[in-house]
Amino acid sequence: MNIPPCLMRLYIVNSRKRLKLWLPLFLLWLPILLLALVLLPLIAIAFIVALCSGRGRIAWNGTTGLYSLFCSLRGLKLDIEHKNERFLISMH
Amino acid sequence: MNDNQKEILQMVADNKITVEEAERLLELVGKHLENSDSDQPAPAVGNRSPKYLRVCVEPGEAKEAAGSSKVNIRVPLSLIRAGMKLTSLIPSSAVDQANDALREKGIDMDLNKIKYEDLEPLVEALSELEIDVKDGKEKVRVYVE
Repeated sequence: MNIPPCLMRLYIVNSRKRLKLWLPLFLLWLPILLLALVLLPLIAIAFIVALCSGRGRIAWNGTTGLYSLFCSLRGLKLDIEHKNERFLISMH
Repeated sequence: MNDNQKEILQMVADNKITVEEAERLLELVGKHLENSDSDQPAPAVGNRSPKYLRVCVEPGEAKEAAGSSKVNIRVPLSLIRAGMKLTSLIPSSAVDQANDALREKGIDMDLNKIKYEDLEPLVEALSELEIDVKDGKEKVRVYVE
């Protein structure tokens, strides 16, 4: 089962700013779920319209593809250091 | 005796190389075999499918004082798989534009020919890939883990 990322670590360190964050993405899951429930009728209508216009498969593939892309971000790490500057983004 | 060693002996027999050269080559082949034996991972590790593509750039000792960048990138291979699935949604005109842009940069590649089905053998082949480039300025490593 695909699980979305739970934590995001973000470091932006340079001469002007020093930002070190641990962002608890799991706290966003519940609001997003509630938002999705509220928007469900609109989403359903959009899917029906897409099905009628022959684009249902594209809409379905796009939605599931984007979700799996988001879930696949777990483990991504970009860490770039140059002199006294550092940029780090890491998904857990 | 492996194929390389046989080939070296054959080259001596054909008078293509001298005995001293053959000795040096056999020594090198022997060292390579020893290294590959000792580098072999445990079976459980070897059978594990790779999960991440790693790109590491470290400054070399000579250039370090001048402040070269240090890069450490870890890309989940599942992200590449998910991205490949989404490529079916890209309009063909956009793919053509990307192909043209690549061609302008000297990369003759047709993105239409890259299929999701081809990805798994590619990922499997990547598990044996390790690029290690060292020069005075930087040390670059590309590998999967």
